[in-house]
Amino acid sequence: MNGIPIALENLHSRSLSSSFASNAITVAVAQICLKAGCNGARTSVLHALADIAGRYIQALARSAAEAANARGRTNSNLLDITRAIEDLCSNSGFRFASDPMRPLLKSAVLKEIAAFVRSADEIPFARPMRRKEAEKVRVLMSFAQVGKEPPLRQVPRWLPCFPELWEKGKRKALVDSGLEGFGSDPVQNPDPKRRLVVVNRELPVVRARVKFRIGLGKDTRKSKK
Amino acid sequence: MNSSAAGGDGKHDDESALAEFLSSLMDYTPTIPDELVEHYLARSGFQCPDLRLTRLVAVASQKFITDVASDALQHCKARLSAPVKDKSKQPKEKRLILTMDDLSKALREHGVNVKHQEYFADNPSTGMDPSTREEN
Repeated sequence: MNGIPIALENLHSRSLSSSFASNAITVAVAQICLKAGCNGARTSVLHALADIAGRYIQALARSAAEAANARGRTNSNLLDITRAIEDLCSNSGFRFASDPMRPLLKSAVLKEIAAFVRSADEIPFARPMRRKEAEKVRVLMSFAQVGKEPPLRQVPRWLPCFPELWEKGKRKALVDSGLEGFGSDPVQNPDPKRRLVVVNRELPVVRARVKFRIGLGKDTRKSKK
Repeated sequence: MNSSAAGGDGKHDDESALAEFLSSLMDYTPTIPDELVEHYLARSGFQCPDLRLTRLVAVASQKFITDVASDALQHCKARLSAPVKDKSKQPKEKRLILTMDDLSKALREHGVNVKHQEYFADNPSTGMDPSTREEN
C-alpha cells in the first residue's frame, strides 16, 4: 500500500483467486462509483479498484491488530483503528500529522470520517448478505462424567466417550475380515482351538515377480565358488 | 482555574461528539456490508466484538474508495474536455467511462502505484538484440 507497485497481471488473475468476497466487493465498489458520478467503468478498472478496496481493509485490520498485540491485547479498540487509519492516510496527509503528541481520540481522520458520514447519502448493498451461522459445538462427555469404563485398557477415563455405534461397527468389521479374535492376548485369552484363518486374497492385476539382492550389489555366490 | 474548567468542558465536548459519532454509525448503513468487512477483518487477525468499530472500518474504506473514484472522475472529465486535433476521433457521446489511466493517476496521489504493462511478450528474450540474446 505504501508505494508498492501492483503489477496488473496479478490483478488479472481473477480466474484463480475469484471468490464470493471478491465478487461482492466488486459490486460494492461499482455502487460507490455510480454514486460518485461515473456513467460506467472498464471491467479491469472495477476489478482493480475492488482488489485495492479488499487490500485496504486488510491493511487496516492488520495494522490495528499489530498495534493491539504490541500493547499486550488480543482485541483491538478505537485507538488501534485510529492509529491504523492515520498510518494509511500518511501518504496524502491529515491535519496535525506533524504533532507527535496529538491526542488520538481528537484525530483529524476521525473528524473527516464523521463529516463524510453526515454528508454522504447511504448506499446500501445491492442484496442482503446471508451471515454464516455459528457452528454448533457438540460437547462430548468423558467416560468419567458418564460413569462408564472405557472398552479398551489403554484409553484413559478423561477422554470423551466413543460413539454409540463404535462397538457394533468394530465387531462387524472384524467378522467381515475374518480376523475376529486376532490380536487378543493369548496369555489372558487362551484359545487352543483357535486357527489362523487364511483369507484368500487375490491381487486384482497380474504383476511381475520382484527380485532383489542384499549386499551392495555384489554377487557373493561367485566369490564362494 | 477558569482555563482548566474551560479545558475540561472542551474535553467533555470532544468525548460526547466522539460518542455521538460512534452511536450514529449504528444508524448508518455502509455500502460494504458488515459480513464482508468481518470476513476481511478475520483474515487479517483482527478481533473486536464491537460492531461499531467494524462499521468504522467499513466507512473508512468507503470514504477511501469514494475519494479515489472522485479523483478518477476528475481525470476522466479533464481527458474528455481536452481539445482533440482529429475531429473524427472525437467521441460522439461524452459519457464518463473510467479507464485505467484515470484510475492510475488517481491512485498515485494516494500512494498506490498501479503500473500498466507496456507490452506483452511470449518469452523473456523477445525484443532483445541478437548479440545479447546469444550471450544469454
